[in-house]
Amino acid sequence: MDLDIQCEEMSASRWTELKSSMNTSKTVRLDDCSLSASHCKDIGSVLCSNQILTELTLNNNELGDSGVELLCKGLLTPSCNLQKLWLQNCNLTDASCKHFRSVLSAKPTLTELHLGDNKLGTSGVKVLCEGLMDPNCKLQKLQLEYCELSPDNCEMLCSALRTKPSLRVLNISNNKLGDAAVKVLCQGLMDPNCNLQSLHLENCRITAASCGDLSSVLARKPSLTELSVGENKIGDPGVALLCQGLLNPNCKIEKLWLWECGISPAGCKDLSQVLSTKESLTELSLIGNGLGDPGMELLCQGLKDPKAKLQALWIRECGLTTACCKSISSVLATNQTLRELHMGGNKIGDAGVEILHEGLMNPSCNLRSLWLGNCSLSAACCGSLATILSSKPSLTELDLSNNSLEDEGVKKLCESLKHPNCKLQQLV
Amino acid sequence: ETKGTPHTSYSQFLRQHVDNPKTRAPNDRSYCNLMMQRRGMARPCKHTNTFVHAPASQLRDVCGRAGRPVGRNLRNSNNRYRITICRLASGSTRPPCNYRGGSSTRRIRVACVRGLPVHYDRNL
Repeated sequence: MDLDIQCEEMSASRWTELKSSMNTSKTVRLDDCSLSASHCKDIGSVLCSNQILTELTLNNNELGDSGVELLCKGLLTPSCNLQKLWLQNCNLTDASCKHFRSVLSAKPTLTELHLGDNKLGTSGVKVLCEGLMDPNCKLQKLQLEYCELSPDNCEMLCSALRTKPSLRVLNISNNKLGDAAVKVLCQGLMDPNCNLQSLHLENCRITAASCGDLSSVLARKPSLTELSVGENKIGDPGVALLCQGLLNPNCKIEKLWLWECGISPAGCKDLSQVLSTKESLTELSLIGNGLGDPGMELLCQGLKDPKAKLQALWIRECGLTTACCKSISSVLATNQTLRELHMGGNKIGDAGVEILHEGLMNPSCNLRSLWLGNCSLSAACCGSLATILSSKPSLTELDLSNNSLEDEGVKKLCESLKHPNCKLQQLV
Repeated sequence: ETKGTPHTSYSQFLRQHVDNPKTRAPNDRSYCNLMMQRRGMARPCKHTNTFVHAPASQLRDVCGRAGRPVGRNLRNSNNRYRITICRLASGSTRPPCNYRGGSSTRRIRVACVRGLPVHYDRNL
């Protein structure tokens, strides 16, 4: 039994209703429901009595530190078996952290803690990490985005990485860390005890200077399958360093997010090599980099290699035009693993769609999801799009938002939606 | 934009683009994350959206004497309005959506059908 409510203000009677549902639910989600500290007393009681409750999400409610204190009391009862706790954007400060420390030290059942968007600060996170270090703590996922961490916090996170083989996912994106702190973190990541699978360091003020250390981690740790360094100005030099590690046979990377990293056509050469050799790589995001047509053509060379097993490619807003569509089309015609292609925000125009049409129609093409929002399209390309919709049952998602398709174009598309071969589930 | 009857499109316009007074949030980023979700534009994550912090009556006037025609059914507002522009941060397109927000005071361009704004075209 699940309780899942979002964006609903709770009247007193509604809350009473919900209290009884909460007592028998396995997961409770009350996102943005104008809850406050007073509701936490009741939720605390639920945590005491409901032994099957495994997941509690209370994001976007102004619970405050006093609310958290009440929740943690409930969490600490021996019969409470909560595994996953989400308290993002709940107006928490460092004062909440001692309560989290107590919970982390006492509850080996807690495997996920998501605290993003709370001003925990350097001292708060230090206290939190004390709990993390407790031998009883078996946390697997820790999310501290936008928590006002500072470089100092990386010492303790480094220790946590060294001593917690249970830790699989660490997300500290959007904190002012810098290269020196990331280097310290990498020391922890290199530890034989460290089994981290997913690392998110988006917008952490990283430059090419720490990419060497990240590269060494990639080369040493087959467990690290997801890395995101989006929104850090690492540039082509940074990408070149990362690719060295990525190309190491030990590296089993699956998801790589390099959005808004300041990559230019020059950086695409190294990435192309990774695409043509890393069979494990299934998802690549290069959104918001000035790849341009020359850069895209280099990437396509890599994508045509039989070893390329990429499933999702995100190249939104990469400065592409009609000129590179021929290369993309030939990739679509040969690569059978690609499921998702997000290329909105590139001025490919109707001519670009006509060229892509050829590759899309190829029997080898198994694309499920195609995003062409804001691509300077008009009604003129809707004929081609319509034939694709009527011929490709694999295509379930098509985004054409922010294009001037007009009634005429939309009509053509709607006609093809009626075709038996069209299995489109979402048309935007 | 799909074209419904002017009435349903006007209510969609209000839902997607009008927030007056501006809903309180710690910062524009949080504002956008909350509002895009509350107003139903987060499944899938709409790439960009503008919220105008002015009474609906003033925005209706843009379709009348508070605006000037600029071709087809588009009109530029004479006055400037306080707005918050929400743009999807480039990591995610699947929910949960992470937005960047920025406040500004700008003139706006809307599409009008039978005297009602039904489509937000752009900020000027």
